[in-house]
Amino acid sequence: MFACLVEAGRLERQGPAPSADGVAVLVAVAQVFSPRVEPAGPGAVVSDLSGLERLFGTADAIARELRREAADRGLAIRVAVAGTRTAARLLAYGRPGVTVIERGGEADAVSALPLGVLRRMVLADVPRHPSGPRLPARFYRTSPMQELARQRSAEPRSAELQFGHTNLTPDAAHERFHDILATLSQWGLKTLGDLAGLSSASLAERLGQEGVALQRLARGEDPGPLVPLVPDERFEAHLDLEWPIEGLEPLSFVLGRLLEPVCGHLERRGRAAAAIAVELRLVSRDVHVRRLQLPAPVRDARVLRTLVLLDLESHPPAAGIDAVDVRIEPTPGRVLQYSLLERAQPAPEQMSTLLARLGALMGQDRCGSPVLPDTWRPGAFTMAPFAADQSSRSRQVRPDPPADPPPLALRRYRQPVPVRVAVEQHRPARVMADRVGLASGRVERCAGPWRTSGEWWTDGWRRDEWDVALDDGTVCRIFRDRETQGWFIEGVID
Amino acid sequence: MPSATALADLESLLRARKLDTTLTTALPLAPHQDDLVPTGLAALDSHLLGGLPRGQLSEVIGPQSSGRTSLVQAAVADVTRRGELAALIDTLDRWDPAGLAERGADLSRVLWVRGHDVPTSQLSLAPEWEPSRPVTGGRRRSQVAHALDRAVKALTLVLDAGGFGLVVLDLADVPLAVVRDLPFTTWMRLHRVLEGGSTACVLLGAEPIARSAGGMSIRLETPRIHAGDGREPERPGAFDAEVRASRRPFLGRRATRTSGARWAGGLGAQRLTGVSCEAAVVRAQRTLQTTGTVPLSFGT
Repeated sequence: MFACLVEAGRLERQGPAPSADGVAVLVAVAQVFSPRVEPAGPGAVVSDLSGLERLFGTADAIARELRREAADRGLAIRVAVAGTRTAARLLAYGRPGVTVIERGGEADAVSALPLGVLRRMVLADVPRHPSGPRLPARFYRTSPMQELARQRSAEPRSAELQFGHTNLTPDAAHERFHDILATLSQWGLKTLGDLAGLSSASLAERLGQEGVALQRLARGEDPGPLVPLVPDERFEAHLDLEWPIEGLEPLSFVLGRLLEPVCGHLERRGRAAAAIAVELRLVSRDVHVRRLQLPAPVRDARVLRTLVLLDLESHPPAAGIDAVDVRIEPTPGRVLQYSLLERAQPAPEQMSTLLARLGALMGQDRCGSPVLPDTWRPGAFTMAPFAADQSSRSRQVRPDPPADPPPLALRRYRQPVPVRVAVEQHRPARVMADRVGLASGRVERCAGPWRTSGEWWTDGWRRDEWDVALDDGTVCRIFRDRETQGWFIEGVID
Repeated sequence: MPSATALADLESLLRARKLDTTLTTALPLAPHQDDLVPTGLAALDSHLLGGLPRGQLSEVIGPQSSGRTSLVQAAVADVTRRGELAALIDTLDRWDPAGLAERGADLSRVLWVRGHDVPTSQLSLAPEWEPSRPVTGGRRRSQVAHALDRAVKALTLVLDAGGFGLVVLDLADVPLAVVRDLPFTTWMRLHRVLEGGSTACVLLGAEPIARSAGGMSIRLETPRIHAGDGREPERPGAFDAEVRASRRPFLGRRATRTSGARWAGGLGAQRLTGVSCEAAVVRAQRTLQTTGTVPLSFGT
């Protein structure tokens, strides 16, 4: 048996579209009695009453309890109970108060309802221009897979049509069914029973499959099963400490205690953590908040604790800690498929921990993958985060490099070192560094100058570069800055 | 050399007494290709019978401008092109990623850990004169020593995590005195971490630093000349001679090193075209091919 709850005030006053709060109240009322609740258009929800007879009694008693519950929350509703969802909706739209129909009597019960009830139900499912506030996402029929598909496609969510699938856009579907209903009125049909009594084949010939779908609805038949709302799940934990703690070592025990059950919850739900937020309420009444975006989904409590502690090492709280809040943003868990033919890649959890430790040791901006920017500036590069999850990357082997000699490496000084250069006949003859250990000596051979400049619109460069071989066997690159006329060593060719 | 018949009789006798499981061979087993990391240089890989051994600590050593960094750069690029990960612990932040990209490396597979570029003035002074920070215990340590310490810790973290085909620790510009101040157990500990794994670790330096028993030392040299004696410059011969020469000073003879640089063009329009050198390999485990040196060439 199914129960449909509809806001009575909205139907009777023909008022504007219901608010999100009203639908939320309807859902909350229905969920008091049954966990299987499905939104059924604006201002209406359908609930599966299977198995509630033992708890609440007859269908009539259940319906009256639903109405009383809604009244306690300040909402006047109509309740209809029937063997199918469609029949319950039609009766809720068509009859005030509480309506209960025994199983098997749906067709007869709805046959007397005017055609306008069907119009109201169908067009409510296909709003042409959705007016009023958009309902929260959780009020739409969804499942985890649908949620994923929506996120990937980034398309706006829309209520699924209650009368079957159609490939029409909402606007086109609205027009189509409006036209069909107008045609039915022109034929002189006034009740749902009139429509249900027509020949299905003749109806299909004249109005197509949409007409047949409407006829099924007029008979109280369901186009599909009830798809219940998936409740929002929260993966969080909170702990008020008996006395304030200072330092990361005692905090690590607290984090371990909080994260273990949360990670267990993640595992039971097949989820993993995409991000973790830690709020530390301090004795100074401040709140120290740190949020970590994880490079790969993780649900290992020890890894999460390590990452949080490494982050707090770099950003420690300013005072003792009174309470700890942990909140995890879930994402579907990873499906790993190892290959027998390729060498195993490091696990993303291990790599995330490694990168966090290296960042704490050397500096966050000192570890990563190099990226060459689109510039001619000598030695230009940027650092990109090293991909922790290498398993998803293609293992395509790049082609072999050309058979030419491999390129020489330049050991570059990040800040070119000033030197003194003796010039003879416009060529460097001796390089003299003021510091022992740098390349110095008589120039045996040299190549240049290679004039280079660029980025004149910012802090550009203008230099003449030379490759010089010194008498001690060192080959290095020096340059003369044309702005300052100073000589520098750029690096050693090795 | 025992005859084949006698050998067969001996084996059957041992088998009869159920002692055949103790049979082995004194000849070294040819390394499986999966146990080696190619350097990307065909001539050197052929000499090394495939490349650098995995699970071992090896070293590439040589003076400045001998091509040592270019050799390691080619190995890192080759590893990433084959789909593996490479880590580069750059102690004093000297590497130029443009060279890796030019060699065809997949830079997204390179984990580059950059130390801090210690001002070069710090490298040249005696440690007791270098500006330093006092540490617990009263012993003052230089900035270079701190940089080296962090680099070794980073190397340990990377090796502990595993999953990398090649890990390089660049000690080329670190003064030898600072490197030798490291406890000798450092390298033993690193070898224990490496052992049995699939990571090849390479130390890049000026002089021999450390090498595990299964690893190898690749010394790069450019031609030497001996000033003042009028003789032709000696070319480095077998590595044994080279090793002995490097451990005993040339008494009474002052040897200077020429660069292996190659030049092209006339006097007014010369350009550097590359560096030529020779690589000599030594490894503790004797293999079928250990003699001779390998000529290498790197270009611009």
